[in-house]
Formats: sequence, C-alpha cells, structure tokens
Amino acid sequence: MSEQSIQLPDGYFYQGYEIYGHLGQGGIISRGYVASFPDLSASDPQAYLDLQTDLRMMLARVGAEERIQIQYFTSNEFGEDVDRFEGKTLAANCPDITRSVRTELVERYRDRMQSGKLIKSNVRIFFSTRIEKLQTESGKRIRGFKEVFKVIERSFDQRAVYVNLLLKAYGGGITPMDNMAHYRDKVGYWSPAALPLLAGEPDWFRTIQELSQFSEISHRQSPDHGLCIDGYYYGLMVFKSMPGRTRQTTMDPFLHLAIPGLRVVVNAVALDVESEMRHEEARFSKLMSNIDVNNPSLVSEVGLDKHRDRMRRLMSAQTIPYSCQIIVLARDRTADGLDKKMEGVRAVIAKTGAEWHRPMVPTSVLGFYNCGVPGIGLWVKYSDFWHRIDDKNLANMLPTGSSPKADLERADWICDNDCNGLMGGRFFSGQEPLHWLILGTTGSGKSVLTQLLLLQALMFRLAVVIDNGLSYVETCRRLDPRSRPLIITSKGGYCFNIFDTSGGPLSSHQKNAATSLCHLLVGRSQDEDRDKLRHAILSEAISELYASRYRRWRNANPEMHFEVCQEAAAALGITDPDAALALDRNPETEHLTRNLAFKYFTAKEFPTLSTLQDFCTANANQKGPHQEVYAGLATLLRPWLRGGNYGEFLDGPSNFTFGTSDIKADDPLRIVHLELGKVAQDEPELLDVAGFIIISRVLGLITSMPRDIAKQIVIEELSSFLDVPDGAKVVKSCYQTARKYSTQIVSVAQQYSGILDSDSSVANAIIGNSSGLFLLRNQNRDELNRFSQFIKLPEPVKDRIQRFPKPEDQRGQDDAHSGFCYVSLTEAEPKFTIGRLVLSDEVEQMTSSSGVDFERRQHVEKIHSNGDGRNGNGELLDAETAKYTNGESAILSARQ
Amino acid sequence: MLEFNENDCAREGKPRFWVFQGRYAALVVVGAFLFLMLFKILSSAGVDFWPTVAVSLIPMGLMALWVTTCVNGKAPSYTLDWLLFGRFKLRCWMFRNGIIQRAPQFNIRVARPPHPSEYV
Repeated sequence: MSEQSIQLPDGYFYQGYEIYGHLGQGGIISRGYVASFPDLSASDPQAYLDLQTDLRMMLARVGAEERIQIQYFTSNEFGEDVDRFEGKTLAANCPDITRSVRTELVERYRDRMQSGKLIKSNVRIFFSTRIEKLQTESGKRIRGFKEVFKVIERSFDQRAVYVNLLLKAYGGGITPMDNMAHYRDKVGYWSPAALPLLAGEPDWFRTIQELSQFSEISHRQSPDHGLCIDGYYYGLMVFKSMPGRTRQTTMDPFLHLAIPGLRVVVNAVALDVESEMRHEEARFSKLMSNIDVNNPSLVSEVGLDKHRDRMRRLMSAQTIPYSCQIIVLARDRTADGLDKKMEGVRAVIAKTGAEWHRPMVPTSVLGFYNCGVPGIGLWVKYSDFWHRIDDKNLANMLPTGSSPKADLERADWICDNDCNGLMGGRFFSGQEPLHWLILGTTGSGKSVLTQLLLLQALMFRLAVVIDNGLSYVETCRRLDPRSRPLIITSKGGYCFNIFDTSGGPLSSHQKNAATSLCHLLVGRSQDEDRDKLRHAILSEAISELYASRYRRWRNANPEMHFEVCQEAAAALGITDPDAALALDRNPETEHLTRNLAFKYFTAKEFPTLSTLQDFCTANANQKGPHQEVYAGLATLLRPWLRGGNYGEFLDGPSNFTFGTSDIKADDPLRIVHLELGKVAQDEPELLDVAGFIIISRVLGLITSMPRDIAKQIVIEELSSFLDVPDGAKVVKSCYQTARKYSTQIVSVAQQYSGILDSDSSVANAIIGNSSGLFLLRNQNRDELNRFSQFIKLPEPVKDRIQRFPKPEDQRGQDDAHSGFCYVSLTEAEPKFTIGRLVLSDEVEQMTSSSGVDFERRQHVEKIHSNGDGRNGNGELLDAETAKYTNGESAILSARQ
Repeated sequence: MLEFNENDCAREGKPRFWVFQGRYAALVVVGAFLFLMLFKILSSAGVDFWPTVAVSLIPMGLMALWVTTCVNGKAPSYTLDWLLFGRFKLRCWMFRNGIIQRAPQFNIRVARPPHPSEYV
C-alpha cells in the first residue's frame, strides 16, 4: 500500500468514451450509459424475478479484464423538463387560468429544486475494460489505438444493444453517454456547485481531472469525518459485509430514502470460476480436517454443506462469482445536514442486512471517494471491503431504481410523484387522443384531479363537460368566461329551443334533430305505421315553420336578405348582385339562401315549441287528410310548453348556446358545460331530453367541427350518465370513434364495479379503448380484485390504492395531498406510476366540491345570472366582478 | 412474496485465538517463536528469570496491542492509511515551519498522460 493505492488515474474524454492512463503502459477504456430502470415499486413479484434474471444476464456480459460499475444518485435535475413545460406554456394560445396554473406549477417546482426538495433518481452503468500496452518491449510507441478502439467500440455497442433489449421489455433502456454527458457526470461528482454553470463544450484535449475538478479536496477536522469539496461536506460509508441473504427489494430502502445528494456506487468485477472453485476446495479441506468424529463440530458440518452447494453451483455454471464493493456517499451544504443524512444512510444499510463502516482516517475516506468516481473508480487500487458474491445476490444488490416519472419527457401535464419527484403525461400521442378513465370513491379527489388536468391542457379548442353536481362551474368559467352550465331542469330558468340553429345555417341535421326531439316528446306509438306518419307530419310541420319564419325575416330585413343572397352567391362563385338575388327566386337554389339566413337569426326569431303546437292545433281545426293526427300531436306537445309541466325549458327563445362548428386552431378554448345532476334526482322524465341534447347537439357539434382541432369530452359520474337513455350507446360510441375526430374522452366514476355492473359491453369498450387509467383511493379490496379482471392490478398497487390518504382529512395541512395511480396502457404491459395531487390555493378554491364551496359558487352563479352588475340583493358588485358579469350579459343580450 | 436468496459468501468461518482473528492468528505463532528466541537469548546471557519473561513477552504484547487497536473491527488498510495520513500531517507541519517549500497535497494528482490521438 502506498500513495498510489488511493490515486486516481487521469485520462481524456474521447469520442463518447473515457480513456484513462498512459496507453503505452496499458490504459483503461470506460463508457457510461444512462439507464432507465422500470419502476417496480408497484409490480408483482414476477416482474422483480424477471428483472433479476435480466440483470444477471447483463452482469454475465462482463468478461475477463472488464469491470462494471453501477452508480445510483439523486439530483434535482428536473430543469430540462420544467423548462420544456414552461416553454410550451409561453408559446401556447391558452386561457389565462391555464397559463396561471402552469406557471404556478413551474414556480413551485423550481423553488423545490432550489431548496433541494425535488428529487430525481438517476442510474448510470459504466462498463470498462483494460487495453494492452501500446508500446514495444524496447519502449517504442505502437500507433494502433485506432484499430484497438474500433474493436472495443464494437464490443461495447453490441453489449449496449443486448442490455437495451433486456430492459426494453419493462419500458426501460440504456442510452450511451457522449463526451458532454460524461463531462457533466464528472463535474457533478467532483464539483457539484459548478454543474449548473457549465456552458458549451470544453477543450477535449485537456484531461478529465483538469476539466472537471474545479475544487481541491480537503479532509474534515477531527472529531468529524469526511471530506470538504466544492463547498459541500461529504460523508461516506461502505458495506463492511454483505447481507446474509438478499432479495430483489434489498436495495429498495436506498431508493426510498429520498434525500438529495445521495450516491450509491457498486463496483463489481467477475472472478475466475476456476480460482473460485479452488478457493471452495481449500475451504472445504480445512473444514474437513477440523472434523473430529469423537468431538463433532456443528459449525464445521454446516460449513461443509455450504461449500458443497456452492461448488455444485459453480461446477454446473448456475452461478458466476463476482467481487464487489459498495460505497454510499452523501453530501450537504451544512455539517448538521450531512449528519442527518448519514444517520439515514446508516439506518438504510442496516436495513439491507449488511454491516456499515464509516472510515475515520481521512486518507481512507479519500481512497473510498476515489473508488466511487464514475467510470474509473473501480480501477483504483484501494482494495478494502471488496466482497465475494454470487451473481444472483449481486443482481439484488444493484440499486436499479429510477424516479417514476411516467411520460415526463413529453408531458402535457405534470404533477408530483410519490418519491418527491415529478411525473407527467400526455393528452395525445401524436395525433391520437389518449382516452382516460378516472376511478375513485367519493371524496378521493377524482373531480379535482380531472379539473387540474383540464386546467393544464393547452391544445384543446373545445371541451364538453357533462357534469353531475356542478363541480366544474368555476373551472369552466375560468377557462372560458362565456361558459355557463346548462342545467337540465325545468326550474333553472334555462331555455333550450330545439329549433335554434345556434348561430349556424339551417342544416338537414338540425331539421332531423328537431323532428326527432319533437317525436320523442310526443312519445312513441305502438302502431309502427302511425309512428312513422307522426314523424313525417312533424318533419313537414317543422319545415313549414322554418320556411314561414324565413319569409317573415326576409320581409322584415331586406338589406340583410340581400347580404345573405350575396354570401350564398359568393359560395357559388357568383359576383353579380342581380344574379345573387335571383338565387332566392329560383326553386332549385332557393334553399341555399334560406338555410344561410338562419345564421343571422336572433334567438327570438326562431320558431318555438309553442309555434309548432299552434301549427298543429290550427291544422287540427282545419279539414284535411291528417286532421286527427295533428290534433293528437297538439295534445301531446302541450305538457312541454311554457305553461306545462316543464316550464320554459323547451319552449321559448334559447338563452343558452353550444356555439357553432366554425372553429379555428387559434381560437380561444370553448367550454360546453352540461349539468345532469338535478334532472336525474328531480325530473327523471327529462333524461330523454338530456340524452337527446347530448347526442344531437354536443356530439353533432364535435363531428361537424374540423377533425384536426383537438377536443375533449369529460363525463363526470359515468354511472349516472349511463342511466340516461342511450347513455351507454353514447359512451361506447365515443370511446370507439372519437379518435377520428381528435376528441379525447375522459370518464370519471366512483365505483369500479358500478360500470361493470351497468353494462359489460360498455365497460369493455371503455377499458379496451382507454390509454390511461387514474385509480384513486378505494378501500374495497373486492372491487379492486374485480377490476383486476380487466387490467391486472399487481397486489402492491392494490395496497397503495387502499392506503391513499383522504384529502378531506388533511385539510389545512401543509403537505395535504391525495394519491393516485396512473396506469399507462400505451405499451404492451401496463405501466403503473404512483402520483400525488398537490393543489395551489387558487386551484383548491376553484375545484373544491365541499358543501361550503358549493354554496359559495352557487351564489356567484346567481350573481352572474342577473347580469346587471348587482348581486341578488341588488347591491353593486366590485368593479372586476361587475365588469365580468356585465360582459357576459352583453354576450347574451347580443344573442337575444 | 419475494423469496430470499441465501448469500453463501457473506460470512466465512475464521480461525480465532485470543484477540487474533483470521490471518492474524498467524501472529500467535510468530509471537511464540519470538518469545522463545528472546527467552533463550536472554537466559543464555544470564538475565534473571522475571526480567527475561517480561522482555520476551514484549513482541507478543506489541502485536496484541496492534491487532486490538488497528486491526480488529477496522478496515484492512487502516494502519497504512494512518501512516499515509501521518506522513501528510508531518509534511504539513514541515511546510508550516518552513522546512519544505511546497505545500503537501491531500489528493495527489497523477502526471498528465499522453492523449490517445498520439497513439493513432
């Protein structure tokens, strides 16, 4: 042992590799790989077993004269992800609240990064090999490095492909590091404070230590132990012995430690099997010689069996022997902080079943510190605490855990994961919408989660929210100030005129929809012929009503009529004004101007249900072929009129619009908000109407919009929606065909089994077409087991779902959150990521569905409904609210 | 439930005699040999019995002291690391007192190796 034993070879970054030492005397080539290991924290034992097998196969690729080093370290390097998220926000044309929510998230995560509370786990795998001396015996330089390098490069590439293939099965993989990545890694190890300051490529002809060591290393003064480097205190512990038994989760305590500045280094070298067998032979002989027949030793007897077993495994190539060294490093800006971290490290090593050793002599600490240097540390000739270990146990001792981050690299939405880090996901995969199903019991935070995701969405231009209990009112209003919930009830003061074209021209679809609804209102006749006749008569009557209204409008608005004729003519390429007017006189083209004219109708100018009923009554009183049918229709329509059972809901000028299908990619987000909660409770007979509105208007609107415009439909309380007539059909159709219309479907349900019970074909359609599941708190294990028949939920996931905290219980706490499990179904195997829903005050107020918050929102809703800048008591509102309220009022006035 | 894999290499039986464990058990033999040798030499020299015994036991005592303080429960390189660190501290003291002109380095960097391109 001399000074050289703790000295570190120097080298160069060279074409994505690190070349250490004097090549004339035999150097070392090393390459690092960024490894992404699957998050198995919520996986079945089989997944662990498979990974162990694959890790053993990876270790088996380490040949003679080669070594492998696994580095696990925590950092707060989410900067790239957060910057990308912020960049998208800045570039997008999105509602102010979306920008505000996303900016708040960015600021929150940046603060946590600065304070070291946002933790990212990283794993690097370094393969290294010794190369022959490039020097003759006479000391002459051999210029053959290029050829040697080519051979080694090919061998490394092949190994990388192999390991990648193994890890791909779990959604993981390895990516070779380039010069810059190696450089950043080295700076991160030697000079962490300088890491954020790195800019541009350095001069690669300078040595690795010259480039990366910004600070000298000094030792801490007794009685403290450790090093001081670059403004950090470093503490170090080594595995003094290996655990007596290991399993795949042995190193999990390190992965769950969640402290910044932690690094676990595993250096390993394959041992020669022959020499290992000789070693076993020698040990066996020694024990045999100790055995005395008259005075038997139990220790020796047991020891003999152990050696027999191992020899058997070695001889049958069931195991490959390795020697390994495990070093744990922690760093902190303060001595107290480091002491706390070292206590944690000590506890965790003990938890693995191993013994820990904290070197006290500064040169020992330096020796181990140099052994931990990425890529080359395992070649440092400091031989303390290298342990003999079999490959199965070594595979278990590898800290192969990456931060669960789901799809953070391409994230449209981000939130906290369960390990103090970040996770993210997407709404679309390319042009393909990713349908979601959100499940959780009442109070688990599913509506809040849905709203938070909606609030982060940038790409949607239309969002349809089918609400149940007015949970989304404020969110919808903040996203689209024009949005008002259409509460389907006779008592809400809303009027939905089925003849209103909502600012669009009259189309055959509109006429058909109006006919169908009227037919629905009058009810089905048992006699099929009579039913068809009713439908035909209603269709004729409605066409006549539209024609009559058009004629009246034309007479009252000659100038507008002329403009409509010109617009219709322009569409046909006609510019002559006389020819344009002639269009309206020609029976073949008359419908063009007529249909277009309805685009300019005010809400009061459209026919209403009363008009239809009057028309039927008039025809019933006149002699004609269908006098009796008209009389029947007039009677059957009467309960739906303004003075009937359902008030003005279906009779009168519309005071609600779904908007037109004329939408562009740069238009602001439009929200259509339907509330079904009240109708289901109080007036179930209106459910037919609700179903009709959704099918004819909402889905009609989506299908008539440009297909490249991103849209979203949120169905709150799916099981209630399935009670709506044709609800199951709608849901099934949405999940199966909405992809073609760039529409993402998000369904929210309470009971896992509720949707399964209602209609298994619907459940199959939903789960079969969903690309993402959000599973929130559910304490009913039976339900989880039942749901597991559709998507296999590993037992640990079920445990986690059962243990998620209830948000209401944490109200007022600083770390209040609810948990969810995001299941990505975009790959062959489902990927489970546990996340946390942490809300800002603003979002919490907006999305809370507690009784108090609901009443507050109802009050605001009433104020907004007044539209006169005064509240319900006639008191003037503050300037901002009044401005907002009056603005909305102006929009409605313009429509009416 | 995941099964445990026995780690047969984790513990190995080691010979132990008094404070001497493992390969350091050989020091007992060395100590005994030195004791006998010294005892014989001192006896031949006419030294009294008790002083002879006391002096002959010194090597064994030193070895036991070293094993107790620097080997048992310590890292294998503990002694040498102490010596290296002692040398560093000595050099520091010498530098502070002007005996040597260059400050000692705690982490000694090796000489700059030639760039791989020189071998291409």
